Amino acid sequence: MIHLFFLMFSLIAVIASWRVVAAKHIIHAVLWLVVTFFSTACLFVMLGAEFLAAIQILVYAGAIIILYVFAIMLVNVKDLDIKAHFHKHRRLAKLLGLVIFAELGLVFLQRFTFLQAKGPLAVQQAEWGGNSEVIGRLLYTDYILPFELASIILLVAIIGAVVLAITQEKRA
Amino acid sequence: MQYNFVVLLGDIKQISAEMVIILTIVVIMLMDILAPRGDKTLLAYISLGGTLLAALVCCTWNGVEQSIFSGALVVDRFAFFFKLMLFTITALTQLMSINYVKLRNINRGEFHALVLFATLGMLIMVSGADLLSIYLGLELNAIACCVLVAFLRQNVKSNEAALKYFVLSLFSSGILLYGISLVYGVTGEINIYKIARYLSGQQNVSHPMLHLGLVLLVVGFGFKVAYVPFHMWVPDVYEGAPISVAAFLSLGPKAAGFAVLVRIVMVAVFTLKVEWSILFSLLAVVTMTLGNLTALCQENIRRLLAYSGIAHVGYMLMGLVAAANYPQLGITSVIFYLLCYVFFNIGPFGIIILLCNKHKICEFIGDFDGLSVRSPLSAFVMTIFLLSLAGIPPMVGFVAKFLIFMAAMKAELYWLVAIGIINSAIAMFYYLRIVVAMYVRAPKPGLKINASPSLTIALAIMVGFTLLMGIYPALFIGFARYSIATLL
Amino acid sequence: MLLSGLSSYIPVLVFMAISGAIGFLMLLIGRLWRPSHPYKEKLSPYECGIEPEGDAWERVIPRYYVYAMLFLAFDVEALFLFPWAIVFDKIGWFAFIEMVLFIIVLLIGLVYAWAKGALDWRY
Repeated sequence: MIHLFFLMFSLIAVIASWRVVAAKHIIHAVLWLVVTFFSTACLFVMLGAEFLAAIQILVYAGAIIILYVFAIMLVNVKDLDIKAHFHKHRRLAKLLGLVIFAELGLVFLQRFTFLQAKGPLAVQQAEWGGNSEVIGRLLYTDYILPFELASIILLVAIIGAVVLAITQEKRA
Repeated sequence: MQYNFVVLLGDIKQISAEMVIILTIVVIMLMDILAPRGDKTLLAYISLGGTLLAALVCCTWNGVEQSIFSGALVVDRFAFFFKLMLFTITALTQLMSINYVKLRNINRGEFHALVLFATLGMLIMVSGADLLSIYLGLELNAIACCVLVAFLRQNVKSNEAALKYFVLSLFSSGILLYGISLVYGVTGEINIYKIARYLSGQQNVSHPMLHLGLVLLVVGFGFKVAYVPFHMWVPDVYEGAPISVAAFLSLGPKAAGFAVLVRIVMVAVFTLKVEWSILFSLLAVVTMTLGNLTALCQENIRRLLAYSGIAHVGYMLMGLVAAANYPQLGITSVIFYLLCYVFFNIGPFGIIILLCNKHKICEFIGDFDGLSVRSPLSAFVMTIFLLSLAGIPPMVGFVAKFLIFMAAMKAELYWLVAIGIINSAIAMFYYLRIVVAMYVRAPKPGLKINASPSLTIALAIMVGFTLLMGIYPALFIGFARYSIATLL
Repeated sequence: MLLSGLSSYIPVLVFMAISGAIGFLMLLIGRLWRPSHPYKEKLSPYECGIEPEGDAWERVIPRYYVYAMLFLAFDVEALFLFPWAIVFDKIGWFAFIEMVLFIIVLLIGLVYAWAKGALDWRY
């Protein structure tokens, strides 16, 4: 039963992400991306990573998609001849994609057991209970440096957006 | 597991150089906000002062090696070496920027803050001991660099370069993350030293998924270090970005990327050395050959420097291949190469800045015609840099190349050395082409030197070190050897 | 192992199924039931008679993008607050100071955006 659902959500994710690339209309691509994010979130839930699932919905399906839509509205997509530019190397892209897909498939189809399938998280999740709690405990003690670095990266992102977007407009 | 204030303060003390950088950024941004009409040149001097202060603080390190922040970072000689190198690169960039940003009307507080942000990211990268903090440092550096590349907003080329840089760095960080997740999936660790310990405890480390993870890591860092097939962005970015930013990009991310690569392949997956040495030897061959052959037909000096930079990465990869069998010799040659590369590769960018004025950028080889008549000194300085890049005997470039070839000879990579020597001969041609243009051709009207004190100081430092390292390389080789003694 | 705790998600699944079914059914019933006689005036965007000019897809000003970017940054910040709130009583002041630092760094970004006029709305 569980495996059936897992298969279902992964199939949805794969098909939707294929549609993202193949969609004719760019807004359709964005909507398919929402579907991809949502089914990935479901997969995260099934793997016991509820916090990641929440991030996936809140940040990706929420904020990032809004950012995408704004970015699409910023440029007049219809004026651009997308086909001429992006479809020029279509054959090559397909070929390379197939090669990489085959490589990945070969690696993952080989019979292997995970050498060591338990990270620190999985062990302590059983010990301490919820997924968010484990992440919290590790993030705010051992992983304090990556946590604070994340805020600096966000700061740079804000500065970058303001530098590139705001003053340009003042001049125009 | 018990992480408390005492431990935290001890850890922060170990990264006090990084803290100085952060505080400088905060000061710059606050001054930028509080005095929007004020003179931004003051901010440039503050950022330079912050870099120098951080370098001084870094030098007070007592030599005790330890891992801090629960293994997220490591303070060791190797990181110390690269930190000093990064501070040098940043300080040279800032010195070259002071006048240039005024010239191009981009003298804004953000510019100076972003250079420091990019430096901060690289500092985290070189001392990162787990893949997570390395990744975050890389991202910090990539975002800051991307905004810096796009800083000439009215310029189409700058925008194009920024877009290419942005898309490719996102793409590469996606690949890198996938590689990290595969390595984590196999070993269950993200800490480099723990991965090494885990792998050395296994009888059979030849695991297809680990190989795939390693390949993806090499691809991901390939975009940073810019070896062929992941070099596409380099020429466009060097051509479009503000020149001082191009100088910064030509070394900073490369040095940091090499530091991370060395730490990963020499520590974490050293057990897979047969696999990665084959991979790197192939990459080395295509990188130097393609870089040199494409550089031959460039008319734009910035694009020429881009392709020559790619070729130089190829030589460095050769040292990395040799390191599989002779770690000491191989890695010493690689990081010595990087160290002297700092001075003679940023140098030509400084000369290009020297020759540009408000209306015109002299970036074509034709623009350098007869420079020796207009300004014998700058032509002489440029010649020193170019001869070093070409690796002509009395110069340090020769010593660096010689060390690399020697390491490869010792590792019995004769075919690789042969290709390397042929490539050096090809490279001679396009470097000397510029020298010929400067000394033999008749001068063009309108070529003017636009010297400023800060740029002169930067050029003097670079020339001084290029000559000093050529005369007395043993000192610097000794430093390189000292800094890797505890890594391997 | 981890999959065993999933039975608590069955209500969520049922909820998703029911809400999906309701939406689908409503559209389906409407489609089967309603009369359909389209003609030109009825299909025009404004039935009051004004001819629409140009295209509905207009470029928006870049200012929106900065808003979206700021929103994203603070959204991520809020996200870090959730696990923090859960473990706050176990880690205590240490976690508090960490989070204050985190928020201060982002506040610098907010103040910066404010001072640079990224939050003013003018054309």
